[in-house]
Amino acid sequence: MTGFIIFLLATRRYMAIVGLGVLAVFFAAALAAPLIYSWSAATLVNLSQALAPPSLTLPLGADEMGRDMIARLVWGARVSLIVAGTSVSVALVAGLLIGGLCGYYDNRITFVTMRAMDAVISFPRILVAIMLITILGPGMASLTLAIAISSVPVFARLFRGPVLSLKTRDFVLASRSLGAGDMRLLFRHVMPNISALIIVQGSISLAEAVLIASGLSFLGLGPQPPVPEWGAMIAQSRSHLMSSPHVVLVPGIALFLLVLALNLVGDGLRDFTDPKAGRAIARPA
Amino acid sequence: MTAPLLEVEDLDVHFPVFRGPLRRRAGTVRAVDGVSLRVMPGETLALVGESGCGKSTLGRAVLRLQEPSGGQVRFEGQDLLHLGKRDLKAARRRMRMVFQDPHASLNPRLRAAEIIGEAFTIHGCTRAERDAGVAELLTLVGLGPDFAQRFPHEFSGGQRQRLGIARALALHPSFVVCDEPVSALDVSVQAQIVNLLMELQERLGLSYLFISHDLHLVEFIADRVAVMYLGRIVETAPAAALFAGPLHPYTRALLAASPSIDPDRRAADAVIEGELPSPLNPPSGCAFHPRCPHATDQCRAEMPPLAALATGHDVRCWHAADWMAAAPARAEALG
Repeated sequence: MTGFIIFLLATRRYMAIVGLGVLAVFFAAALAAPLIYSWSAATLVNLSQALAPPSLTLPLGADEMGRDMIARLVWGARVSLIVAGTSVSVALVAGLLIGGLCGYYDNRITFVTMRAMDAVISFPRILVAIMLITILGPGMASLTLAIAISSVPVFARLFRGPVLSLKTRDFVLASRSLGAGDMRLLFRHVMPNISALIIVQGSISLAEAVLIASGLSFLGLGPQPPVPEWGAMIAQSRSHLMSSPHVVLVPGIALFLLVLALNLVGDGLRDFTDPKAGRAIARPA
Repeated sequence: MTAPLLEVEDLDVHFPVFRGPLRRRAGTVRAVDGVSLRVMPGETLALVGESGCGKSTLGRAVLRLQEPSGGQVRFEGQDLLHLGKRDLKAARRRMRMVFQDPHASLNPRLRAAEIIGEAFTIHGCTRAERDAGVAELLTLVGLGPDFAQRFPHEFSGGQRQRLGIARALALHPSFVVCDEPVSALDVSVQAQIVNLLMELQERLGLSYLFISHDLHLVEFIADRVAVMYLGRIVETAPAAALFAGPLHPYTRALLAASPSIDPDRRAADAVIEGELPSPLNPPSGCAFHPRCPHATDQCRAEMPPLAALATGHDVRCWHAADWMAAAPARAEALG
């Protein structure tokens, strides 16, 4: 982590540092949400302050039900990060297993598996997720699962390529010549050599997952009211966009910042892990 | 007479080739075709030939790193090609490989101790045994235990190859395939590595199958030499005999092509022309006839057998007897 920050500073990748900072703020907010604002502050209806504009007591105003926007924003960060984090982790593990095994073993079963992955990829991801939620029923758990399942084929395809090329390398052959079994070769020699790809793809997929999660929530397929999910918040308040723009702008801008930050950090990580990037050399300004 | 450590009989490694949109089988590459050879305990058998002749494939097939398509390999008395998973793993304690490229053959993510210690872990040694073994091996190859915690990129080319040798020697194997172990190294480092290999052979009683295209090196290190051409052995002889009186026209051309500072060893034959033919579509008869200055109709029509001309000197050439008879005369002419 420190190495990463030093690299970003040394190579003047300030945008990635800004992204890292924004990300840190969101993470802190998500972690501390229960300490600063109670769950009831984010969910209890108080119509006396409905659509209140930002003020000293309500820094970001209140929504159409009179709920404190900043409390909902902070709790919403928690929801977004949990959904995105869990779904990407699950998808990474599944994608690594499928991609790794299908790259390592080249036979009829893995061929059929990869063609099945291709079939899933041929549908837009959001459509796959909608189909899955239709089956599972809306909610935070099924939203997470739907995003995870819809990203598995992407990961599987992405990781299969390098495994395919790494397994023919001499150091894998050398380990086999010592008597190593397939699992040892795959998990000790092949997989660690794609860790950079895993980290980079993971961080960029996180941004995508946040976006899809709020997109689905906007459509009402995510966590149900009164859970404060950013996409759902935009959907519920959108009729007040003209009279009280803050109710839509607050979750919208938060979403924008989080996705942007994740992408910036992802780009920074990609440069950091690319051995050809020339670590210590600053880019010409 | 002692039993050979490794006995290879009629070994084939054939690769099917698929072409076209329907991936129809277009033919077979006979990378190794009916090769027989034996390695005695403590002996170095050198395998020479130009690139693409199948020598590396043969080296891998002998260790079953590449599944052969036919033939027999007997190692320490057991039939290697019919061993089950468990027995093969046990056999891998006794036979190893040193790779050509010391950069590609070391996992960049592992420390030296992990690379060398892997054999110990795989074969169920305790941690203490492994650590002791790693330290001993590092000293054996002249690196010393201080290097244990370093990553491969922190070593020079020669040091990396020492690491590769240490890995190959873990758990005391009896047989090591050296697949061009020095050809990726600087000339100054080559000599150190070759001396190390010879010293280790003497100390540990190792047998080598030494794959190389460097004839000077082979002359220096080998007890016997096998010359390969297009997947087949064309001549095999004790090193001294081969270098003093090569009989196959290909061997002679190879020796002639290799620059020498010895004025007594001048190019007697025309240097061979043309390319190695495609192993997918080998020439009829003797595979060498399109490039051979002495080819006759018999050479074009029929594949010569590998025939013994002197003790331990086998040649695959229809005219080998003539070369044998002409050899002293030629030596006189040169002398």
